[in-house]
Amino acid sequence: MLSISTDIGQGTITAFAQMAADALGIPVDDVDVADPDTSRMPDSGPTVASRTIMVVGGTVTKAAQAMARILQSHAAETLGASNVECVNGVFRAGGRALAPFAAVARRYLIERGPLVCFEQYQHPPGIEWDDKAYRGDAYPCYAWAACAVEVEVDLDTYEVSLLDVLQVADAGKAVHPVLAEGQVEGGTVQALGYALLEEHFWSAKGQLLNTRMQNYLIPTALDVPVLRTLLLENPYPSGPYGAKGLGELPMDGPAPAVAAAVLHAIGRLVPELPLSPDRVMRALESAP
Amino acid sequence: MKFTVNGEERAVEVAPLKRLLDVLRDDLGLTGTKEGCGEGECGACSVLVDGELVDSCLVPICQVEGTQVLTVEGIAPSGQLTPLQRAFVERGGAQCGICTPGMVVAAHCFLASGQPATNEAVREAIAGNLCRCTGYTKIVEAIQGGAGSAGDGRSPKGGALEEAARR
Repeated sequence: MLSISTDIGQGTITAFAQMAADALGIPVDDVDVADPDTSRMPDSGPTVASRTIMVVGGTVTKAAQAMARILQSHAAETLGASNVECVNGVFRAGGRALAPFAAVARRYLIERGPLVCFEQYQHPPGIEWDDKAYRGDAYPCYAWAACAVEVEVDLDTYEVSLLDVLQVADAGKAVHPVLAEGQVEGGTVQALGYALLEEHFWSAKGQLLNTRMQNYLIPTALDVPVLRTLLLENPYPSGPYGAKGLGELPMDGPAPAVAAAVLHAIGRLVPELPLSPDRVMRALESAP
Repeated sequence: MKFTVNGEERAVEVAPLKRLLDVLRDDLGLTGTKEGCGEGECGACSVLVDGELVDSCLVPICQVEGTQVLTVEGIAPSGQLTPLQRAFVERGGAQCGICTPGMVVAAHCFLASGQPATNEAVREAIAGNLCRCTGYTKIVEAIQGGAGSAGDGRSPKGGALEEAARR
């Protein structure tokens, strides 16, 4: 499986292998997701914009489905059967096992040479984007999330503590639920850091002053509670297995949720992030 | 300087203030220990020195003379995984992996202490290990899984989710 989408820990290798394996009817371990190499792989676009599973994975799936159709018809021909289907690595027809995938593939290779299936992303029908006029539907679908947090504000130190955090995310289809949860949870904590801890300090000349881990604070395991994550699946019909984008989605809700929770707790809106103790103090001590 | 690393006696001839992190990675070829910040804030370089959890970027090599150092490579024999490490794999405790060696060392130290693996105690134990990818929930679950399970560290939940991925 050749694409330049890059696994940086979000699980691209696993998800692509799952999607190709599912389309081909073979075990997931039999799919080799090659290391990205722009000298020998097509331009799959950058690994950004929550697009990897939906756009590139969708294209991987189509290519694997095309390959599956070709091999199915080759198997039907060479094995003298109809309605051939590959299930768990074995081509079957009429309830009987006929031949392993590897044997069918090897025979194809010998008789017809290498089989390469190439797919390019197409917008689904009805979605049109004019890149010259910059008009139309830039995105074929949207993903949705909701976040709720419970906080406690210490009225002596003005510190905000997180008691409970819940994020519900609809990504159409969680291709790998553990990896999908991982994206939601990681993004949630980044956004909670944005809400409570992370702040840039600039010099008069626009240089960042706090450039070290010592003075740019990100959440530790003690700064956030156990996160509760719910994945909803409202399938996107043109997405692979119904999947939509997920990577950026969890960042949107938590910081506003924390600000709203603090407002609920102290009756004052702290209008600037992070909700540091000094900002909470100023909000409480200013005239209502 | 002579000291034991992962049960093996090693000797190096380096400047006494060379960081343990650099000796491990460059002189001994043990690149499992990572540099995240170089200032003792992130914990990616965590190792054990005589059973104590330290940031190896802050330890000058002269300080480990005659001690027993444990790095992530020494947690399990090559090719095998401890229940803790299996739990990390199966529960999504690792994403990009840069914090993982330090997390595993810190968790290993905590589990060796025999303290009950409550949510609070585990988080205290890894408070010095920053992670930007996971949000910590699955790391804590993995450490609790490493504590609670015997054998190969599988949990029913982990098994079901792995099964879903392999269907």
